[in-house]
Amino acid sequence: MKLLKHLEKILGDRVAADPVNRALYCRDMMTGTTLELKAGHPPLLPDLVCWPETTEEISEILKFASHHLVPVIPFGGGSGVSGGTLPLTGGIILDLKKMNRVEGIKGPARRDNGAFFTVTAQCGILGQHLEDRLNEQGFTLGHFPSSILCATLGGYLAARSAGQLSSRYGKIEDMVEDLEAVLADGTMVRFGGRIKKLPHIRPVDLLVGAEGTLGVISRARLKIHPSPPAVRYRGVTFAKLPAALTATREIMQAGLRPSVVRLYDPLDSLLLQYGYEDKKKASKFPFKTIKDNFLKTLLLYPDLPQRLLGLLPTDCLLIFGFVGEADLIEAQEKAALDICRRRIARDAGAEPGLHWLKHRYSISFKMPELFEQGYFVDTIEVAATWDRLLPLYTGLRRILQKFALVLAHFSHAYPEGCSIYFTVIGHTGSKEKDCRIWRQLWRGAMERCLKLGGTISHHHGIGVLKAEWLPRELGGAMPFFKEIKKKLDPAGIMNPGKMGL
Amino acid sequence: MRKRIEIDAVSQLVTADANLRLDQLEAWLRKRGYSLGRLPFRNWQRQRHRQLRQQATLRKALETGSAGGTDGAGEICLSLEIESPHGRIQTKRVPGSATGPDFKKIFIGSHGRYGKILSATLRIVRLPERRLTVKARWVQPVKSRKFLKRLAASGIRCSSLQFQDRVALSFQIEGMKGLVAAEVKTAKRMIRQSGGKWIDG
Repeated sequence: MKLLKHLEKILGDRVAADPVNRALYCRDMMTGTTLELKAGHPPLLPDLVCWPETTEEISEILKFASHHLVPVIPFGGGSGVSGGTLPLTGGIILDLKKMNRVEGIKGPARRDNGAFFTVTAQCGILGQHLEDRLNEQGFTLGHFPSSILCATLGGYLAARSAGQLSSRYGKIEDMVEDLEAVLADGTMVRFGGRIKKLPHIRPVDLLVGAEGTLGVISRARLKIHPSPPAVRYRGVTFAKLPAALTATREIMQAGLRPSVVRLYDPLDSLLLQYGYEDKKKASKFPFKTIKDNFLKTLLLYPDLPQRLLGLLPTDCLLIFGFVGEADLIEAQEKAALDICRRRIARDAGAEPGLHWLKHRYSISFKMPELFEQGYFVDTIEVAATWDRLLPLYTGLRRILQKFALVLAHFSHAYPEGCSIYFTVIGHTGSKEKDCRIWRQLWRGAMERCLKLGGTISHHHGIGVLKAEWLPRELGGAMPFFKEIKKKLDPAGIMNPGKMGL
Repeated sequence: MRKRIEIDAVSQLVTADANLRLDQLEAWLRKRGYSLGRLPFRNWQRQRHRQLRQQATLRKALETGSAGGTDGAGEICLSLEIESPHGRIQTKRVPGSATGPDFKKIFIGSHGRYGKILSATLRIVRLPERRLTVKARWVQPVKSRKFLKRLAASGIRCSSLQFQDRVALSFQIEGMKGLVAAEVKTAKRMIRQSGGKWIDG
């Protein structure tokens, strides 16, 4: 085929058009795709897959693709959950994982709020590998999403990801200083460069978060931090969620800057307690003792049991952590505890935080097991300012528990607000009905979130999953986004069909 | 015509008309126990011409500021209302999002090219209970650089860091009384351990 022959001229044997490779790249980790494949729907296949190793090779590929109107989908680890890399209209998957070098660390450069250091790296590097390279030199990126073992730096930037320590280190867009990219027509934008068609906008402000719809990010320069000398974790329980939220807000607004803040709602706290308090208790954990059939029956009518569970006097667990000099973080932890005690909290010691730290990545890898057992699982992450947060939580919980079991925790806290992370576990007994209920659940959540003033995505991105609601989320900025898209990608080849563009 | 200022004490935000002068906004906030903080609009604070400094409006500071970095107006700006050729744009009033590019960063520093900023929602902080200046000196630049690296990982929240001759520095620490005391104590220890000398006063 002409496309294959041309790409082989550029990349040699780093191109594949065989059925196996095409099938491997037909999806990311979006739950909807899993359900559709299980229900027997045919997968969407790319035309071919290629593995460039340099920015120049990406430029050659895009020049050809834009001339021949072939879609191009940048692909990192494929760990996204919003369908951001689905090849909706075929095309070329641009797997960037061969561009995985860490090119250098610089610093300290002095700024108003202290010294900072930077790393320059290619965007195909896996998150954990980047972190490992930095740790070897005594640094950390401070970015620990649960996908760190299977997501790339490019994927982080494309989606505006957040790590579990974002309350201290920020989201990825707070870390990136500059980037190198290739636009749809093959133009390379180097560090410090500008885009000719939009010379007054920094490329980093345009391309971070654009999910590959405006260009391919090939390299980035990011702020890094010396590895902290000490860490501390603490757990605290509250009788009521509103008091726990107030304490969390007060901790953030006291200027304390914890690295981790995670507040679990009553049901999630109840399940967690069995996980860390006692191994014996863990083996008596309801999901282990209640027979599979009973749970599946319960999930056919999830609303009533959860309303009843909501009446139980269950504590909420707050975990917080600090990083820095040992004596200082001890003082910061004490200050946070004092704030919690004013809201009538019980000190649960270091164990809950240490347990979370030990298992923080493994929870995501339990999801395939649930799918195998006939459940469906998904996560919905929204955010709001503190004044709107509790109504947002209550409103979304009410609608989601009509469809599935709902667990929720508050994390990625800021002085002005917080994110809420819902995990939904459902079962309908029918694969087609699973697909239908999953779509209804998302529709209900997005509509309710917009109505209550929250954002429809805090860090997972839009992809195809939330594209329908992006115009209402962005309001007057959506036409502006479309105009930018038309200017930079008039042929519409960059990741088509995503983000409502 | 009265210029709009609305405070959200729960979320610690202020929404203000872009025509307001910065010094007016700061004075209004201080009467209520709040502040814009380190005033990332420092380009205007440093303005030698007193008249220009006093006349700096929120719009001017945002349109000429940068979206990133510690000097950036973008650092404390949560959302913007803009009159653009596409109509009125109100960027979302949320603490963080992953809904495409951060459009407010495009408008900040744009010198009004893509639209006129009508109002902004800004993060505010409570007036600090205490503010202290830390000053230290080293004999060799390599030791002061080592201190800087350790400072970056320490958890100390410093601002207004200034360097002289690569061997002397000063920075400010402000916030709750107890925390400031703990941070200053830690800073003194780190300075001593890095071979530096704490300078009083």
